[in-house]
Amino acid sequence: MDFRKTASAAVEKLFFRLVGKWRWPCLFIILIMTLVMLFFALRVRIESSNTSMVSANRELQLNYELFRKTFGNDETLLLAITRPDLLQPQGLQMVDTITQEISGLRGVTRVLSLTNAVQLVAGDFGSEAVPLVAKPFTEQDLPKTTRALEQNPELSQLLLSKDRQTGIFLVDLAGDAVQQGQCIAAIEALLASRFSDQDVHLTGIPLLKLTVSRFIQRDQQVIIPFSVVTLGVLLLLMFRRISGLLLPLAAMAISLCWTIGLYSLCGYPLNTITALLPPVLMVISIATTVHLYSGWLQLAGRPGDRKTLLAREMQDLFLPCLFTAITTALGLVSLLVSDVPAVQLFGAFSAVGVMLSFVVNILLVPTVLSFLPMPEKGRRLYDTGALRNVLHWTAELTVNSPRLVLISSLALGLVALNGLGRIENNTDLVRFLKPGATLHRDTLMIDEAVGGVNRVEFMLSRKDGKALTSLEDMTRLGTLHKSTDQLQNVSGSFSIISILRQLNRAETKQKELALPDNGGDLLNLFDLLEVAPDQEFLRKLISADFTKLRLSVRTKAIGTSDTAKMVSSVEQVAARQLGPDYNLTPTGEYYQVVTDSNRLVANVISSFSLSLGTVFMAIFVLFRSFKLLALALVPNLVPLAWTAGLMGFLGIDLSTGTAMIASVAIGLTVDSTIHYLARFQREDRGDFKEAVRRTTMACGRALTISALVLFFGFSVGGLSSFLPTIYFSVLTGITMLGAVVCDLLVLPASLVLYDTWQKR
Amino acid sequence: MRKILLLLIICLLPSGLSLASQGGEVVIRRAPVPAEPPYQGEVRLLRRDSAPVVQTILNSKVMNHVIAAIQKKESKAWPQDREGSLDSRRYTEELVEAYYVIRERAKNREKIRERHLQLMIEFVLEGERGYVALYAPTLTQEGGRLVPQKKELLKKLPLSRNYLHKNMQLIIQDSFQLDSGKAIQLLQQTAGD
Repeated sequence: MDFRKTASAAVEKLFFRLVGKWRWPCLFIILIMTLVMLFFALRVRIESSNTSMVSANRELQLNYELFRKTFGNDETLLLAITRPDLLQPQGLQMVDTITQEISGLRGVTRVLSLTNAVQLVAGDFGSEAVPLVAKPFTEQDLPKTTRALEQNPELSQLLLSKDRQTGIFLVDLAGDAVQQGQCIAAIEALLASRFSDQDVHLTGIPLLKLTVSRFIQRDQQVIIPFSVVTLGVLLLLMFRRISGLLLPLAAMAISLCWTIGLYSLCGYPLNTITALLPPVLMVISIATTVHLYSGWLQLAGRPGDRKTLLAREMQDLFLPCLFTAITTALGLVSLLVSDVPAVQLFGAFSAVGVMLSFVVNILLVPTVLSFLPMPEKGRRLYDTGALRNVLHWTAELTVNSPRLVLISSLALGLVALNGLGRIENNTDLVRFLKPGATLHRDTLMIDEAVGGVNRVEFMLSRKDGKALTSLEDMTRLGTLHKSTDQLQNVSGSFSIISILRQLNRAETKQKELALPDNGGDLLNLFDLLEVAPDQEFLRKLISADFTKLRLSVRTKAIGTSDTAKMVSSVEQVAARQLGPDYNLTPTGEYYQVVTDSNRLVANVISSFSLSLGTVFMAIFVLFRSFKLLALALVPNLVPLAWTAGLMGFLGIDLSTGTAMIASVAIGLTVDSTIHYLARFQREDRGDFKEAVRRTTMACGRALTISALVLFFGFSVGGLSSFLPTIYFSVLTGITMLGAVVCDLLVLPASLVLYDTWQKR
Repeated sequence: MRKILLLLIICLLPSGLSLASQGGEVVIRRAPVPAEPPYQGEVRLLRRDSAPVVQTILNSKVMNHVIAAIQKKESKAWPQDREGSLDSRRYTEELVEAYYVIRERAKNREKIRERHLQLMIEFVLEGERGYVALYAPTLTQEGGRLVPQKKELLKKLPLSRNYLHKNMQLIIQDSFQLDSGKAIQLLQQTAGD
């Protein structure tokens, strides 16, 4: 109790000084700090790779490192050209020109297309590598070309659509993400300048990374100014005062500068997840200012010294504001349980941002308000307007029909639970982009044409470490190929076995693609592979010592959930067909994304449980009452259930974006509960009904305004280029509206019912 | 595959400084074949007494393809209407026979996992005469180079001087990356003309 008194005295002293002799020094320090942090904030980098989206799972990383060390980079760009005369001389000439021009670009290590692919054929002196399509391209050679394509079905599948009107170029890029980005930009420029009259489409993981990076920059340029304008208009409508506009915006800008400056100072670049920091912090910061500013407005007409009244009001609001900041930060901190660095960064820095925003608000708002004259009574919109009537009506409803309010909200909650069951865990990188996005369109077009743009890689090795050169090894691998190709969503698979079959056909002058029927001949084929000229290509399929080989499984453009099921099916098939002597390890860039997305979503439960636990612990510490804690549960969980139900009914998947909603929202929804209960404690003089009426009328205004600020502020995220960001923003905004409805209806109704039950 | 074969063919040829001396032989120049790994053997230009010798030591897992590459090159350099084509045909026929011999022997060897086959081809000019000799050598690797420890003669085939001289020149030219004039000059220097 002594501590509380001491703390209360210290807070009182702080506010009296802030509105008194510390005013100018405080403003000066804030200004200097802001300028310094602005310097760093303006230098924040944008992540050009998706490194921060890769989970810290050591086993996965080691597997992928080994894969890259053995087989090289698996990030390939897919370029497609569609024309009805693709296999005619003009079409092939165009494919050849594009192949040569792209091959000549800096950073391109290899381009594989119809016109430079080779096939293995029987020559006078054994197998020979000859072009798949002979040059010069002539009408007469068309049957020969068609025959070559038919005789090499695996190669044809890679480079040609089924209708033979779309040709694919597989473009391998060198260097890191930045260099790859420059190279892709050069390819795009080349296509735009030289081949703009052609129907060309581009996709692939490197392009996806670049597109994400570009969209982050675009979103930062669009969303932040639009947020400012939206919030500004809202503040003007609500407060109708210049100070009511400028003060929250100033607090918001300063909080943002400090947080992003700190983020940049720590050396982190913005990524798809942390790009959400500015819009989230902006609305959270404004919500705090709204409470402080509303408190100041309520001083209108009160007798007494202006500065004393202001200091006392700020002192009353200090604890609820501190605890709302703490609960919001705790909700965000719970994201640290994720093992995806981007999510951890978002959790950590948004929590830091919330606390910095609290500090900025507590220092800036009373200091600035101390320069203003006392607000005049009657100027406020909500004093006599529609909002007052609505609040009056809700107060009466909760007091007179608490059961109806509770039963209705719980019934809605039950309906929502039905929708909750429909939510699927699924992240689809391409469909993260809006349907109108070029990459979205191009990817689906190429996917449709060739039956798959994503590749899950597998590494196969023997447990005894021996080379995979025996007939048994290859026979088992062949069976695995056959079974894998029949799995749902698999459009094809490729490995060294395809080359061995071709080589065997050419060596033995057979017609069919098949493996040799004895181990000796198979070893001869491996000997030939050892001396083959294009070792670089072979190293992409099998290690130099033949102990590890790569199995690439091409999938249709499906989400991570279906891909994970497909991988699991391949593993089950492999366990049956390969037996216990082999290791088959899924890996690759795309598999990393699949695993990380699914893990991120799987972390939702632990993250949400943690945030729920810590947030409610904070409420208990503040009110020291199990009764209020129990009553606070319903109005906070019901809006989350409503949002989850809405997601289920609208068919919105639980993905990397939407998975964060619960953890972020619980910290925010509880804020209005804290403000309501804090006011309720002040208004409670024995008559719960009367206390509820007074509380709803007194703090309902600030709660409604801050909820609207949060709703509109978050909704600005709807302008994002990424669907998960849009879903996250809009659904979090909707949750805020649900929360204020629950806090003004369900919470008071619960308080009234509890009182009635206690009196009985 | 075609590129490998070409490289293998190119490998059958070497150039100028005396590198080593071994049992009455002086190695004038040597080069691995093909020019880039994986190497399938080595071409050496020797002076044995006063006779120039172009020696090709093959150590390959794909000997059938190496032999095929030599056949291909021979048929290209010595078409049917050209003088020497008969010599070329005799040479390639004996080469294939020698390959069959070493392949059969390899089937019975103890180290079943050792899949390399060895063959040595020598083009020798002795005064107005000359011959091609085919050996089954026993090789060791020293500092990445093949060193013949012993050799068993499989066939000695007397052929026309014109054919031998021209073929030696072509091998030198290809293996040591020389033009025709320099290859002839090197061959003459080796012979001590």
